[in-house]
Amino acid sequence: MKNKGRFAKRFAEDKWYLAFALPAVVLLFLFSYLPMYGLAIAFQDYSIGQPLIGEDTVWVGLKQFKDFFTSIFFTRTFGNTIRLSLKSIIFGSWVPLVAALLLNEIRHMLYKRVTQTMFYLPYFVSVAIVVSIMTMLTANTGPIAMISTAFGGKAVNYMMQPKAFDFLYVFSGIWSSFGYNSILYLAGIAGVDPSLYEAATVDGGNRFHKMVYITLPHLIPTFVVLFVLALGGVLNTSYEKVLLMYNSSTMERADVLGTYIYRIGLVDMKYSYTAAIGLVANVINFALVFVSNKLSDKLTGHGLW
Amino acid sequence: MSIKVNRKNRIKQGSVLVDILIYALVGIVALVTVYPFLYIVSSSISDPQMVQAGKVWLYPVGFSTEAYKRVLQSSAMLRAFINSILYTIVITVTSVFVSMMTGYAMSKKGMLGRKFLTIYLLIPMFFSAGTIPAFININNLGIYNTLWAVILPYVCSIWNIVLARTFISGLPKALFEAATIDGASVPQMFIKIVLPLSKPIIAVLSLYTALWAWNQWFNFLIYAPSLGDWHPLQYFLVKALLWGNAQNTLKLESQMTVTEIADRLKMAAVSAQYKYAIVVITTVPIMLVYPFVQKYFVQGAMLGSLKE
Repeated sequence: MKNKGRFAKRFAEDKWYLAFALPAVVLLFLFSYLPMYGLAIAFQDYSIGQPLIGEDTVWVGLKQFKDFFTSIFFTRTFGNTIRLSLKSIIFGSWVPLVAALLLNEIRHMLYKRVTQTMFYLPYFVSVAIVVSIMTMLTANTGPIAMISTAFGGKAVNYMMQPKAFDFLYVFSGIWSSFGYNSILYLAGIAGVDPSLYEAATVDGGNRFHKMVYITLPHLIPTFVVLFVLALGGVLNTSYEKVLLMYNSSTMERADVLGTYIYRIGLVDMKYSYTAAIGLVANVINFALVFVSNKLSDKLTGHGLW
Repeated sequence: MSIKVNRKNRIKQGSVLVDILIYALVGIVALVTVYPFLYIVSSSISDPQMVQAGKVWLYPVGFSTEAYKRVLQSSAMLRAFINSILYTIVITVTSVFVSMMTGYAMSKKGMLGRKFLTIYLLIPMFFSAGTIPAFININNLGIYNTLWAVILPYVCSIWNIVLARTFISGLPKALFEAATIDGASVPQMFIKIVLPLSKPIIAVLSLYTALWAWNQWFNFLIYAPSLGDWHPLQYFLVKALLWGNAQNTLKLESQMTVTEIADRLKMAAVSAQYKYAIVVITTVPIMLVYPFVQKYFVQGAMLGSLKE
């Protein structure tokens, strides 16, 4: 009874704070927690309009999962997803670091500001614009085809070339975000104790020495955190971008989990099957993010939480 | 440099060469980065037939604003533009307000259910049910193909709440204590103390939320595909350039028959040029806003890395 009285007292005391948190609680319940309950359809043969769990529910156990694992789309979509992510990480993760190191060597402030701003610009444009521009640049009358023909090559539409897909996906991703990601490294550089550089000058170190032995080591922890977190997000391909980029001739190389779920789920309306695929992906994703956070925390003392 | 001979000369000369290399390299990377924009802008204002002939690769060849004139006449495009602005404002205002409210509540030490609330927020941050259950949910809530479906799920941003809470927790406690002694209620403190003092974080959150909202199209595709009149500019772009053709999406066909351009070839070239103009028009608002918000943009980039 005493406990209850205390609860009532605390409730009265905090009622306004609770009221302030209420909209967020309700919205999360409606749009994050209810869909989790909706994952039940992954174990059913669900058709739209039915109650999620009711008398008519056809439970099929793990059938949807088995169907996916035994189809060719399992290896294809997982393979494409992981391949594109890994390539993005391998080719992209060091670019912001190098960009920051180079920018740091520029002492002409106006030149630095202008080039830096140019680096950031692509971050502001949407996926839809990125793919639109890409389509124009790589069309068979576009500038890239022009350069290719100038060197005796053939003018081709690169968006239709399966071999070009990975490059276009990875390069456009780097283009979009390297400038933005370099901000973190620039902040790291700004945080380096200037007396270290002075000491290095006294000891006869040149700017290359300073970059390699002072600046770079200060940035490695940030690099490790971002690298490990990126590995944790290996299943999070930019599938909106793939959805806009791919076509019938690049489909086999380009189809990732997100696009497959969109096509088979929302277009072909096989809801239970695709909910099961999403569940598999999100569980793996969760585990990866969790492990990568722990790992990053262990390695550097920095994690997401 | 050669006049100032001293014992550091060698290092200095080496430095100059290195400087030139670094300046050149950074300059080239910067130019390559903005090249796609230059190409689009040049193509959009060149002579349309030159564009079609593949003569434009960097600077404009000839000059014509025909494509802009026609694209800007499209009421469908104008509508999409207004939709984007409205959508961005609604999402930004509601989402930032909810983030600040929740952040304020959670900054109160020892609030009833604070632990529960933290976990409640943390779970959806790391585990989502996925596209399909979310879609089914929107259907079951009866808001499929309504504006609610593209607004409500995005009003509560957990990441923004976390950032708001961190900021508000850092505000001087003495202010709140003094206000409490003066008899101020919690909502009064929120409006008179929290909001005015939180301008920096409100600016950062607004900027990122607005950028996100402005660039949205996929939500409309999955939750409100039939709401054509309400589709934003980005989705319009997808329909005009990637999944359809500009001519039909702009709905300009009737006007084309009474055109003053006699030459049919030129007319075809102009309509081929539409896509460049559309991309420029879609990109320009953000580029115009950018110089004014760069400060907050950089702050936000670093906030994201904070271990809270």
